[in-house]
Amino acid sequence: MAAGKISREVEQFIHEKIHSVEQLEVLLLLSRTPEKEWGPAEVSQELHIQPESAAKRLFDLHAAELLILSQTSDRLYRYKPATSALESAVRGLAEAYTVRRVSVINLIFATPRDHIRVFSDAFRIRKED
Amino acid sequence: MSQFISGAITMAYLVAGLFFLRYWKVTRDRLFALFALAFWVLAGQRLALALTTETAENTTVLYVVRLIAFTLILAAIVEKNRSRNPKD
Amino acid sequence: MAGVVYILCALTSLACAVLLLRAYRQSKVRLLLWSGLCFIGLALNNGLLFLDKKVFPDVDLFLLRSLPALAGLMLLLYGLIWETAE
Repeated sequence: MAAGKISREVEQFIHEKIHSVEQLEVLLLLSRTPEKEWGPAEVSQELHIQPESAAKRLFDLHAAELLILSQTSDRLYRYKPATSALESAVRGLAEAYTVRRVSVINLIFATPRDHIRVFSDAFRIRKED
Repeated sequence: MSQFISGAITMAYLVAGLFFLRYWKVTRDRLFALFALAFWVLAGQRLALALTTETAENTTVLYVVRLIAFTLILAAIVEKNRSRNPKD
Repeated sequence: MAGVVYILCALTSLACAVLLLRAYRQSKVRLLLWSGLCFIGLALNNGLLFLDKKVFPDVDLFLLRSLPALAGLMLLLYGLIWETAE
């Protein structure tokens, strides 16, 4: 596989949570500013993407337990992974995306061969952390 | 109609088994080898079922063959969960 | 004896379906959706086989129990061909 030396943890994380480069960019943007609350409008301005699209990514990342909703508004999100494992995976992903951008992007556009691997891994009952 | 459906099911099992064989060849993941085998056993069972005249005894034997196929699938799952990292 | 076999096969198929669909929810790899649905079809097939042979031995449910298997396998083949072609 063309993944270079991306750790298994990060690879797993990409397979499970990241479905597009846009989603990755939104995640990394919010993870760089964990204290700031972001809404679709600011994210769309910052990353030059459609506001609806930004809203969808935020919603998905929230569902993936990587963001929490602001207490004041239900359209504002803040980076706060539910577990330390997720947090460390995102840190690893951010680093990998700086150093091995192409490998990370290749992983996101998982090749059919990865679909086969995911099929086989589906039969693993306990999830590896 | 039932003969036609039996034939279609048999063919589908055979083709799916062939795909699993290819995945096994690519990944060397034993799960796929066992799945390929299981699907071919199911194809064989369907074929034999269509060929036999319906005596109760025969069909029971054939359903034991079906059991073998599903045991293969179970074995694949068990093996997947026994070894931590079967592929690496 | 035969009844136990049918139930066991149904349970195995169901387990496969659950595992595949659970993994589909996490990974969104559609191959898992199609194969999960296939195993639901096979579970139905085995469950109906039990009903056919053990509960209603006088009625022939061949079509009713075979169609879920056929439909499931067609979905599986669609997934295998469409989602994993290189």
